[in-house]
Amino acid sequence: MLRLLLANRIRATVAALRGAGWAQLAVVCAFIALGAAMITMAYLGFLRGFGFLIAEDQVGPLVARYVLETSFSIVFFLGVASFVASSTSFFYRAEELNILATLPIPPVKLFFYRFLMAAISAAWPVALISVPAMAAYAVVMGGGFAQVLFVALIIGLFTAAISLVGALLSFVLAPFARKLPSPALWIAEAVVFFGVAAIMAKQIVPRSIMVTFAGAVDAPGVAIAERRVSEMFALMPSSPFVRAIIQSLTENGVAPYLLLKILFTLVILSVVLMMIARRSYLSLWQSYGSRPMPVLKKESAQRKTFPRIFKLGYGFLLEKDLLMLTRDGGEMARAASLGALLVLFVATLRAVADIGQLGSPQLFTFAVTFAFASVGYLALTFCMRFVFPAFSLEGRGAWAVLSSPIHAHELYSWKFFFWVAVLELLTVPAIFVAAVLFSLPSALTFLLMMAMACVAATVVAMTLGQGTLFPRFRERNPDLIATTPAGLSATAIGIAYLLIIVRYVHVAMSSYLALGVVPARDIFGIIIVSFALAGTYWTVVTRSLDRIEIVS
Amino acid sequence: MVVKYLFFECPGNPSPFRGIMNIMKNEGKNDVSLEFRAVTKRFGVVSAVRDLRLSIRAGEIYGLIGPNGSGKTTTVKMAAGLYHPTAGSVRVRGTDMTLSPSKAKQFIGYIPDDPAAYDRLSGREFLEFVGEIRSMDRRERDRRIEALLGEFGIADMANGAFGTYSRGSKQKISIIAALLHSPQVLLVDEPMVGLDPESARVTLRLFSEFAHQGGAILLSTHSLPMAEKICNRFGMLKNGKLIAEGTPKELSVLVGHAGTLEDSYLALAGGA
Repeated sequence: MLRLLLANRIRATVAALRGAGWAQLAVVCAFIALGAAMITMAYLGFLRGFGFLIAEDQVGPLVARYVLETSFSIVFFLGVASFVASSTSFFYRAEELNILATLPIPPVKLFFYRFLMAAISAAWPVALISVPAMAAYAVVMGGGFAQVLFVALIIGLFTAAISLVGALLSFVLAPFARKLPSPALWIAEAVVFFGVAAIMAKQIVPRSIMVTFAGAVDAPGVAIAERRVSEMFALMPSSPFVRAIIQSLTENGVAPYLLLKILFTLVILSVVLMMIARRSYLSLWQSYGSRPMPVLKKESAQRKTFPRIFKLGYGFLLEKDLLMLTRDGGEMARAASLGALLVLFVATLRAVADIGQLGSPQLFTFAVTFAFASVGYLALTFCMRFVFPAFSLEGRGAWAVLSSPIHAHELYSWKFFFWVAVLELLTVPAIFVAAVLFSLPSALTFLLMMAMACVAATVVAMTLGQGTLFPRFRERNPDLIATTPAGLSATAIGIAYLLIIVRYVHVAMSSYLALGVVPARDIFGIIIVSFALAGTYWTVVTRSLDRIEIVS
Repeated sequence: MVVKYLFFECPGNPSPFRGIMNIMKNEGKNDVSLEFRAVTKRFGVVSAVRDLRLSIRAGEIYGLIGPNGSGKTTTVKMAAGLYHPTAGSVRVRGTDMTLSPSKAKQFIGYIPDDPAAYDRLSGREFLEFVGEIRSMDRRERDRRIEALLGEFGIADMANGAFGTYSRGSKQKISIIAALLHSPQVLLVDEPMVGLDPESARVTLRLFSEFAHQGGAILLSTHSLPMAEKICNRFGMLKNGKLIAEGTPKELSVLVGHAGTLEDSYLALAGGA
């Protein structure tokens, strides 16, 4: 039965790939290429690092162990977090369960089938970090065929351990998660994730560790450092796996004791999981299905009617979009992750700014231009995810507006001004902070802010325009809307536009550093290119809106 | 009685259907409310509707019947301004839908075949939103919403997210949304799908009252017994062509034997 379910899943995937358009296939290929590139880069990085460390007689191998322990701890944490976060959709909300649960499939087999799906999905950190790290370590240590096989076995068991722990945790959390509305669940998961991450970071990357390694210049020092590292990772579930691999590669054996310990633990976890699944899985799935209808706001005399904030003009169109966005936990989480990337970018900029200021004018110009390009690219990514699908996401409800006296222009204009305001508020302050960190003179600060303001407005005009010219009202998933041929061409146009603006910024900065003035030619160039692109889209789209149809 | 209250007995604002009453007063019941003038709609090489000519008068309920793919939904969507005719014109109360869409759309209420709306708004919020896009006075809007929600008995559940509603509940909300602003022409595409018998009865009563007050209804449906109860006239579409038009009696004369609307339909669908 299980084999049949898995075979059916594979057939469905193959059929989906065969039926996919070129744009979807291009996206799949791009993701595969990106994954391969990341794994290769990680492998080369680890290879170089381990090569350098192992060559060190004293503390090198210990630092290598520390790196492995740290990376495996992070992978374990990310894997379990990923498993738990996706468990609700894999175990309880998957549409195919509505059919499968009516068939004579034992609950344990049904659970195991969904468990495998979730396990594959949660294995990404193992593939991206653990596999290249271990491959590099095995190469550096000159492991033989038996050792490489043993390492592969341990990595497999490590992946299984992540999924087993993730599944057990998701069973423990399911009764609570079931009662929470989606936004609250997302927020709770984010709080727990960042809380555990902070505790872990404090435990495995303490500031004093560098002092410990620096003191390991002789045998007693190394012994102290070794004890410290062992103590740090003693409670980490990933540690036995790392020790088994290191032992196998350093002693040319297969670490039978640790292997048995790992196997025993995994068997116990599997038995416990299957017992829980046999007893609780289907009832939990049913309780998810019979969730009471979520009530957005209780009826009361004080209930404020719609619109609550934007009561004038067509402000209600804006308020409707705001309500839809803020009530979608998934969308808010995605927006927050892009916002977090922006914060991370600004935080790392401090280090980049120091390097840039210490180097040559060329390096400084490159660093500033790179910072500008990064914010611009982030703006484009944000727009592709949120702005491009905005008109399509009016969705099957678009009839309400488009059969009313309100012209589609109004709908389009309000979306445009809303997203321009959001993007300007995100990107212009970010580039201002960058300018301050780089200690740029006011002329260059103004140039960067002006250019970023143009980029934000133009990227919104282009992505919203392209998404409106090729709407997909029937599609509810914004990710799928953004990966249509129209979406991919919007990304290409956006990147081409960004490259032109980045080129102008680079030239203007170089001129300023050499001559002390920002050439007007570059300022006008930025404005003209931006207005040309945004204006073209605005004109074409507003004309097309006169003839827009909701074709299913 | 409730309908009477809804339409006539509201202190301070005697009739939410005042537009319709004005028409009756000023222009009489025999005016053409909705007209298709030689309308053709093509999607690429496929002709969904061909040279359609029909008119619906104030106070009339016109049933549009025909097999799947005959062009009924396309016809209703053209009247709602959601599709644009490839040739010909659609006129609502004399206003061309293509040339003056904003003006023409003021007159219409539309009930789609797929009653989807914004999943993360509550039903009540969606209705309030519809009131806003129809520029309704907010107090009047809220009064109408509560009255119509009460008609369908869904006032309690209207605060739940729309996406969580059953098909029938979504259908009720879309019917309320169409009636909310007291339109003059109601465009209805398969109104009874998913409705429980009680709500279906309420819907039919509201439609009858609407027409009685001078409103015109274009009703596309497969539910022939229901249509026979309330429609004055029928048009039969087949392959995008209007192949027959008339009262049930006229249609049965046309096919050459007395019987129900369903008998006439089957004869026309098979023989034309």
